[in-house]
Amino acid sequence: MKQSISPCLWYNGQAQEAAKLYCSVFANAKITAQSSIVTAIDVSGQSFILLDGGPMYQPNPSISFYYICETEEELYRIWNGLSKEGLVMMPLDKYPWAEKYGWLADKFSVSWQLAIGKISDTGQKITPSLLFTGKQYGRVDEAIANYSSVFKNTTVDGILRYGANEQPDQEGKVKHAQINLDGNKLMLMESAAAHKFTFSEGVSLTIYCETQEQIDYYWEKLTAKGGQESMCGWLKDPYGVSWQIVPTVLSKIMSDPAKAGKAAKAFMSMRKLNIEQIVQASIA
Amino acid sequence: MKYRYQRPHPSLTDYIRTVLVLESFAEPDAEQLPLFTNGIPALLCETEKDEKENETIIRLTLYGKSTPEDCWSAIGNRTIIAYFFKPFTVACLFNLSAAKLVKDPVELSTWNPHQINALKTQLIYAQTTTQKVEALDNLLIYQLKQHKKECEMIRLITDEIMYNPTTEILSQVQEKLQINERSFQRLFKKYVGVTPNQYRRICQFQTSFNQLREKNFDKLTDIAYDNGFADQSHFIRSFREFTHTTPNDYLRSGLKEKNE
Repeated sequence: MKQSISPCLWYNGQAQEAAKLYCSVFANAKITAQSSIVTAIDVSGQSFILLDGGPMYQPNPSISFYYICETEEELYRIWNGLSKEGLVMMPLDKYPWAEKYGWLADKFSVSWQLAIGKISDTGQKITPSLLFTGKQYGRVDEAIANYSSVFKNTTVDGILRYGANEQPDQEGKVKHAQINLDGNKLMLMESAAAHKFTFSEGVSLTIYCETQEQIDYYWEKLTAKGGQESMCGWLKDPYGVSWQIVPTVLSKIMSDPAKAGKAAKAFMSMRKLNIEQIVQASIA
Repeated sequence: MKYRYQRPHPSLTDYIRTVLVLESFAEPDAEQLPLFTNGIPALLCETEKDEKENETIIRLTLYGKSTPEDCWSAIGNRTIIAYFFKPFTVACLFNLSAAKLVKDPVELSTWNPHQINALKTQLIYAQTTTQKVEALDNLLIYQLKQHKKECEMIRLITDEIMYNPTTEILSQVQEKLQINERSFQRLFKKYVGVTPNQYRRICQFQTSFNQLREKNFDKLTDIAYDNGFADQSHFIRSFREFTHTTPNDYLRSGLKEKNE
């Protein structure tokens, strides 16, 4: 069974509005759970968590979502839907890697890369794409090695490197890499251009764990080598990418009004989450 | 309108003066509000139930100086829970600088968003106001546990200096707490907002001023010596600095208007 990883997007009071927008523009998208802080959606089998976390963080292009459209019609429909009040970063055009491609941030500043392509090329309709900038520039090889040691069954599907004439980028740095973390595709890129953003809590990756051993394992592995623990199951890996290590059962608990508050009371003071304590508290 | 003051949770009594709960407003009735909020730091939690009985969080904010009047004009189906802090506790409990707190209110969701999301979840699913108070208590108790050492130090230092604001007190307190000069200065400045000596001088002035006002002396030198001034001229200099007048002028004609 593959490891389940869901991206989590941070909003300031607009998660439900965003969920409605995504469900109206994406194919096969539906809201799967809704509470006043968390809305969960499923887009073509990929689940997203939309979190109303307040004004502190917001999504930025350091983690974007590569979305493969199999028809131009689908691509235009999504592009038109998401670009309203959004920001186009790379206009829709022909690029070396796709007949038609564009990069935009939607009105909630979530970044999407839309491309014409075949899903069979990557096996996944939506792929999180990490862009290493600033201090993280040049660390993609290290990150791939690190993630490979953390996730079982990791494969490196391909690495494309910058050539000699691609200033400001240095020859040999990673232009684009695609890896598979235990059944979850991930893209990694690095860019030397002056970007004003780096990894933040605005977009995080949630790992769902069946057992406490799994939680302990991911928590320890991802905070090692310069990572950082945060509160309530959140951590940063050595590159500053935010992860949430969460018991699978928590989604069910949090959608039960009789249990959610009690569970939240238990994990409010936890760093790494403890399944047993949360479950016990939720039924107390 | 219903309001009540309630005693803080037993483990918070050293840090919280009182908790005010305002709920179930039929309509706003500002004149009845039982408030004494000026100059008292407060944590304010305001929630509202919509027609579908869904709870939303309107406000979860720390006020370092005093809470603006308009926060109390609650309307509709709102519940306000306000924790009023004892002096010099709030910055330390929340590990914020006193200077920052005095400057602007702090939205708790920008202070520690992950914990506050968990708190909001508890508030939203709370069945009763008592459960909401419990959730807020829990946050404060957790914070106290995290910062107990600093919180207790600040409490002890500010108390000792207030009761005995002499020049020797600073080194005495420092020795008692086994804390080096740099940490002492830094800790105090961060959580109280002024240096230990500034605070000591304010306390010293305050007690000498009270003695003067209550005419509890035979001659001015008594006040100077009773309050740990080296001599009368130090006392007069301090008095002038805080009031822009001298003790004798004050006794004759009270405090001067600022615009004089």
